[in-house]
Amino acid sequence: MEKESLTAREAGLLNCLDCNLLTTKGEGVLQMRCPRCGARLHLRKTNGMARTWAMLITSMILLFPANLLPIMTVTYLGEKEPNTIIEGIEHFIQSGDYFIAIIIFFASILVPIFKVVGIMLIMISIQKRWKTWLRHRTLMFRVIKFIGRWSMLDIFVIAVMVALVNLGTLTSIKPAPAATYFAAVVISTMLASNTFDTRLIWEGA
Amino acid sequence: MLFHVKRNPVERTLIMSLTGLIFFVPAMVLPIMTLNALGLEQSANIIQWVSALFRTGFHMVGIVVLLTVVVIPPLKLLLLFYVSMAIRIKAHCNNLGSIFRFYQRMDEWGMLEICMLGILVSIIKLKDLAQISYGIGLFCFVLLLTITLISSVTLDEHKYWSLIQKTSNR
Repeated sequence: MEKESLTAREAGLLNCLDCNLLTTKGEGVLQMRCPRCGARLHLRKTNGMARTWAMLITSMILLFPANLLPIMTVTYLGEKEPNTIIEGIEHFIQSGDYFIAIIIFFASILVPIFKVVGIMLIMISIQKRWKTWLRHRTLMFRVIKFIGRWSMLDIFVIAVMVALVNLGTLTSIKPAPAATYFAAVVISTMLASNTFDTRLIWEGA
Repeated sequence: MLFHVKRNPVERTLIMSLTGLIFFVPAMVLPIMTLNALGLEQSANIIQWVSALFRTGFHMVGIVVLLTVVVIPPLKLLLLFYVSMAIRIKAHCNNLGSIFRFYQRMDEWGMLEICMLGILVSIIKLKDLAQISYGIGLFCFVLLLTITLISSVTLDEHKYWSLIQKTSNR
C-alpha cells in the first residue's frame, strides 16, 4: 500500500485511548499522562504483543478442558447424567429446538474458537509484517472484540438452571468442572483483545 | 456516521442512570421465575443464583456471575449518575476524568444483556421438564436491562469528555 499521509507518531502527536484527546508528545513519553483524563499515554500499549500472546495461549489451553469435560450434571429421577457443551447442543437438536441449538453452538463453540484463531492470525500477520488486508484485519478485530463477551451465555444458563432445578436428591442440576474452565476461557479471550493494540496492525503499512 | 449530537445529553443520562438504579434492587431480590415439577416448587432470585453456585463449590463461576450481573451493572449506573450530576451542577471535582475513565473500562464487563439471553435459553431448556411461571423480578430485570442498554448506547462520550474538561478546568 502506498503511503498517503503522515502518522500521528511522525507528527509528534499522541492519542489518548481513553478519552481520544490528541496531545503533543513530550520528552518523557513513558511517564506521560493525558492532560484531560489522567490516563497513561503510550505510543503503543505496553508489551502489547507479549501480553496478548500470553492471554491467547492461556485460552487455547483452557479451551480443551472447557469443551471435553462435562459442563453440568443433570440428575433426573435419580439418574445422573454429565453433559458436555456439545452433548447439550445435541440434546437441543433432538428435541427440535434448532434455533437455540444454533445460538448455543455460536456462543459456546464457534465464537471462542473464532476469537482465538482470529487474534492469532492478526498477531502472526503483524510479526510476519504482511502488508495486505489491513482494513480487513482491523475490521475482523473489531468484530472479535464485539462478539467475545457473548460467550458468557452458557455460564448464565448454568447459573439459572442450578438455582432453579434443585428439587431434592432425585432431580437436580449441578455445575461440572468445565464451567470453571469455560468462564476462564471467556475472561482470558476478553483480556487478550483488551491488551492488543490495533495500531500495531497499521505499523507495517 | 462518526458523530451525532443529541439534545440534553447530560440530563438524559442523569435520568436514565437514576431510573436504572431504582429498578436494580427489585431486579436482584425479587424472584425471576418459579419452577413447578413433580409437585415441588422452586423459585430463585439473582442473588440465589450466585449462592447456588457457591453452595455447589463453583466459587470461580459464582464470582464471575456476581461481578458481571450484581456488582458491575449498578456500579456503572452509579458512576454515570455521579459524573452527570457533577457536570450538571458544575461541582468542583478534580477526579471526574478518572471516574469516567473507570466507567468506560467497566462497560464491557457488565453483562446484563447476555444474562437475559441466558434466562431465555434456560426457559426453553426447562419448558419440557416443568411448568415455569415468571416473577416480578424478571419484569424489573428487563427494565433494568433496557435502561442500562439505552443509557450506554445514547451516551455521547465525546461530549462528556469535553464537558469534563470544562468542569475540571474552572
